Parts: sequence; structure tokens; C-alpha cells
Amino acid sequence: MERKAILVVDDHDAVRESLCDILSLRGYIVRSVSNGLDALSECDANLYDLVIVDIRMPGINGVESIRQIQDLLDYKPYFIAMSAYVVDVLREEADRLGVIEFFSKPLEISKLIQAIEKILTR
Amino acid sequence: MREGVASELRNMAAQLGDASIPAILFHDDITASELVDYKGLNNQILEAALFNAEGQVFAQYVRDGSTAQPFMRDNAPVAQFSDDKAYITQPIQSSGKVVGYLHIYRDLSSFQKRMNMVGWIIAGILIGVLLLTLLTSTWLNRLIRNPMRELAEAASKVGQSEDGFSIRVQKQGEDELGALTDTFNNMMGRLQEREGDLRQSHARLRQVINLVPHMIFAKDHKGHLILVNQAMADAVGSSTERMLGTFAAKWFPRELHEVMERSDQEVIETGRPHFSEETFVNHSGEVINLQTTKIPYVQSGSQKNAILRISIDVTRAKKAEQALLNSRDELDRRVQEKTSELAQARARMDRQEKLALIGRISGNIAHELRNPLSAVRQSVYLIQMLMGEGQDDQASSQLIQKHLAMIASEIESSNLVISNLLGATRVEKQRKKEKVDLADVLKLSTSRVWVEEWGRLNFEFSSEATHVWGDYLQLRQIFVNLLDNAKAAVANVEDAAVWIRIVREGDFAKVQITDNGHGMNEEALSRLFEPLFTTNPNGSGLGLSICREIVEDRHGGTIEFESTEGAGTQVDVSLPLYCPKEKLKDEVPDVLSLVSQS
Repeated sequence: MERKAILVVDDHDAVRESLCDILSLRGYIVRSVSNGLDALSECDANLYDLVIVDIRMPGINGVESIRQIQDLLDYKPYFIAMSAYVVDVLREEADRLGVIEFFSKPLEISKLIQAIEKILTR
Repeated sequence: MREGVASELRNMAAQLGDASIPAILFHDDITASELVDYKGLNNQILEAALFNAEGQVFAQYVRDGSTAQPFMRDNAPVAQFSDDKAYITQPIQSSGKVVGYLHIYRDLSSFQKRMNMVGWIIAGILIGVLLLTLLTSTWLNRLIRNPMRELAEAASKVGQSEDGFSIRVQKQGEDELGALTDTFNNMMGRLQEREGDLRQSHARLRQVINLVPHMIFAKDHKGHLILVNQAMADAVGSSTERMLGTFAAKWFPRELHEVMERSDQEVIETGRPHFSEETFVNHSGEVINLQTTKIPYVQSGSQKNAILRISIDVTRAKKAEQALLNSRDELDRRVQEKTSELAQARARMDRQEKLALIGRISGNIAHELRNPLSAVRQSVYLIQMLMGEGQDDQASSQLIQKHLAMIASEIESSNLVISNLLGATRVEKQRKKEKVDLADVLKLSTSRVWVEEWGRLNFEFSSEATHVWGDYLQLRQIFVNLLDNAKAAVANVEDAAVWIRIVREGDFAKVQITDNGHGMNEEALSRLFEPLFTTNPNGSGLGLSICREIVEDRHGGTIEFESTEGAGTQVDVSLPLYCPKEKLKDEVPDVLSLVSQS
């Protein structure tokens, strides 16, 4: 079975890094960026199966980033959204854009992994 | 009458005496008898007798049926009367010598009869005259006195009875009295007419007074009611007839009457009208407000002052006035109610705003803490995963070490978030203020925080003194914070530059820090001062809220931002210029205490 590629987008360094380490250990190809602008260029440069994005980021926020990736690129990765806010107005927008799962921080990793596996075995 | 008889007897005696002298002297008794024989001559003579000087009967005549009368010898003539006869005796003298005597008795009974008849006649005449007089007087009575008396009685009755002028006297004839009666009756007729008119106008006047809805009465100097109208009588539950002539005091409660009396006295003394307001309880127990005018009232025929009172019932006006006052009070009360409701709503809104602010702050804190918490949880998960797999190769242990370090670091940064938050709520308030030169503060701040390679620094300081009364360290903290923000704004900007200007504006010194950096969008601008809000991943989100507290609450200044996304930001900090008085007004309330209290 071919390895799947996942991009982690989060402005908080430790969250980003620990998530990358976990997913790498699970056998995924994982890369990470700290802002929306970099996410777009990274997705443009490489083909990702899944993008896990924090919707609250300074500058271009996560939702805006998802929209750009969907609009500007000619392939469609899956999206999982995260937020430190339990209730977030941006979550509705994310849902409309076709985000498959939404996770509140602090993340429940086992559920996240289950969700990732389910998405990527489709 | 007697004198006539006496004189007749004397004449007879004288003739008989003279004629009988020769007969006596010559003792011729025949002649003498002839001389005394009055038979057929005078029937009235009872007896005639001649006596000689010795008193012996010489010749005698006695009327038939009579008896001889005694001879009373006397040398002087004597005439005597008894009831029924007269008697005369006298001496017969010749040559101065008594030669004889004579006496004559005269029968007076016929004379008496005549006398009696005369008496009767006189009496009859008298009676006749009396009767005539009586008749005349009766006639006169009927003709003059009665009509006169009637007139007089009528005249006196005029004044006595109610309808005196209706009296008429019956005319008795067409004489002067009749004319007088006519005149009297005419006069009475006119008077009656006049009186009728007078009564009518009096009645009209009374009617008018009674129709007046105000309470009117007048009392004389003794306190007796001399005029009362219907309204007054109604008010005390009586009638005008019952009230008239009674004491006014009788109809009013004592207290009110005492008050009335005092002002009455004043009116009498000053002779001027008096206006007053009185409260009166009428017979139905209603309290009536009266506006009373008292007028001195001179009664005709009296020197003493009476008082005329006119009381107008102003209860309704009073009530209306009271209602107006009440409604004004009510209005006041409602305004106050609404005001307090508004204040409450305002307080509620303030509280809701505060709660919303606290909510946002809590949200920010949650965001700030959940990221490190998430990182910690992920690292723990990873470590457990590695340890659970029982891998003890070097790569694994290095990874575990790395994540343990990350956990420690994340715990530190979580703690920092909390410390910063607590620090923000604890801006020291009781620090000492002094005269501070803003130029000094800015120069020192920039030299401490600014590195030349971040961007060009331009200074433009006012030539005038820009001293303020403030806390040196807190002021430095402001400018360090602002320069820190400017540094972040110009990061990665070409030809980055920051301008620092100090100008004087009225009583304020204004510091402008302008950069040509990224600028901010509207959302960021509106949330600038919100604690924990930040666009800088490494910022605490507390700097500007601290700045605002120091500038506005601690120094009475203002801090304002202007920004255009992609063009730059300008912040104006205005602080009151130093003046000696500044020491006096120092403390100002703090806003952030709210956060610490919550």
C-alpha cells in the first residue's frame, strides 16, 4: 500500500512538531508549515492526500487557506480542521468548504488517528 | 226777682202810707178801709193793714180764705221773705212824727209758680240747647271728627302693618274732608304702588343674591346675621329664614369662627376689604376650600360697621391644582423611575459588556493555553506510544528526550501566559510621580530596545519644553511596548523606517510613533486594547492594554491608533503638560481592576 502524504498547518510550533512526529511514526509522509501562505505553496509544490489545518492563525487564517488551496490548485486533498476554541464561528465556514472532521484542542490523538485512517483508506 | 217784689212792695207801702196819713190823722176808718181794700185790685196781696201809733188795727184787708198775719212793729222799714210770702212793714210818718204803721203781706205762691215755670222754661231751654249741642256735636262728629279720626288711625296703621299701604279711608261726603280723604287715598295708592315696586325689586335683589352660587352673608357689629343667601344656608344645612337674626357663630365650627372673627376685626378697624382662604366643613361633611372676601358694610341707620362676606367655593379649582401637582409629582416619579430603569439597563448593559469582555478574555486565555496543552498531550501520547512498543533504540530515546523537553517548554509557556495575564491586571497604582521630560524618556527607550538594522529611526522633537507630571518607569514601559510593536510591524519590510515626534498641543504633549510597516485590518484595530488579543505569534496580547491603562487611567492622557493595512501605523500618545498644580490632582480610577475583581 502506498504511503499517504499529510501536511500539518499550525502556528504553534510544539503542536505542529509533536503531531508530525506521531504521524511519521504511524508511517505517513508528513510535512508541516506555520502559516496559510506557506501551506498554499507547499500544496502547490507537492501532492498531499490530507491537510490538517488550524483555523485560527495570524495573517491568512486556516479557512481562508483551505479556500485558496481548493480554488487555486487542480487537485483536492482532504481537510481536517483544528481550533483551540471549542465554539468557533470559522468552524461553520470550514464545514461549508467540505472539511471532513473538526477537532478541538487539546487534540484527542487516538480519535484523530482513527479519523485519518478512515479518510485515507477511502 | 226778689228785688222786683221788694221794690213793688216798697212802692205799694209808700203810696199806701202817704195816702193814709189824712185818714189816720182824721180817724176816717172808712177811707182807710177803702185804701187798704185791694180786693179785685191785686189778688196777690194776702193782707194790708194800717195801724195807729199805738199799733192797734185801724183798717185791715185780708184776702178771702186767708188768716190775719201777725204785726211786727218796727220804727224802721223792714222787708222780709219767706218761702211762700213776702212781708214789708214801715212806719207812717207825718211831719216827722210816727202816726201809724202799715204792713203788707204779699202772696208769693203764684210768684213761686211763675218762678218755677220760668225755671222749667229755662231748664227746658237749657235741655234744648244741650240737646241741640249734643246733636250738633254728633253731627259734627259724624261730619268731621270721625273722618279725621279714621284718617289719623289709617295713617298710624300705615306704619304698623305689613301691607299698611293697602289701607283706604271711606269717603263720607263731597266736602273738604272728602277731598282730603281722596288725597289721602290717592297718596296711599301711589305709596302702595311704590311699595309694590320696591318689594318687587327687593325680591329680585334677594333672588339674585340667592341665585349667586357663592356663600354670602352679612353680620352686624353684634354678630347677628342680617343677610344670608341660599348658598350659605345650603352649606350649613339650614334655611335663610332660620338663620337670619341668629348669631353667625352658631353656624360655624369654633376654630373657623375664631379665625373669621380675627380677620373681621381687622376689616372693621382698617375699613379695607380682606381676602383670605378658609377651609370649611359643610353639613354633609365635605371639606370645602373657600376664597373669602370681606367687605366693610355700613348699615343704613347705624354708625357701627357690619361685615359682608362673600365666599367662593374653590374646592374644585384647589382639587384641580392639587391634581396638577400630583400629576406633576407622578410625572417626576415616572421620570425618576424611567431614569433609574435606564440606569439599571445601563448597568446591566455595562455588566453584559464586561461579561462579554471577560468572555473574550477567557476565550483568548483558553486559546493561549489549549495550544500548549494540546502539544503536551500529543508529546505524552508519542512517548507512551514509543514506550509501549518497547523500542529502546537510540532514535526512539532521542525522540522521547526531545518531547520531554518540549513538554517542559510548553508548561513554561503556559505559565508565562498566566503570569502575563496576572501582571497585566496588576499595574502598580501607588507609584510616585515626578516631573518627566518626554524627550529623555523616548531617547532612553529607543537606545534600550531598538537595533539599527530593524529600520531607520527619525527623531523630531519640539523646541519647546515637553515635561509631563508622571511615573518615569511606567512612561518608559509605554514607549518600549510601542517601539516593540513598531519593530514587529516593520519586520521584513523594505526600507523600514520609524518616525518619533514630540509636539505640543495646547496643554498636552503629544508623542507620535509612525511606522511604514504592515499595518492592521479593521478587526485588529478594533480589538487592539483587548487583553490577550494579538496578531504577533510571540506577543502576549497584553502590551497595549497595559499601555492604555498607564496613559489614560494613570496619567489622564489619550492613546489613539491609525493604521492602513500594508501602509503603516501611527500611534498618538497625548499626555498633560507639567504644571505646578498637577501635584494636586493625582489619582484616577482604574478600569482593569474590573478584570482582577472578576
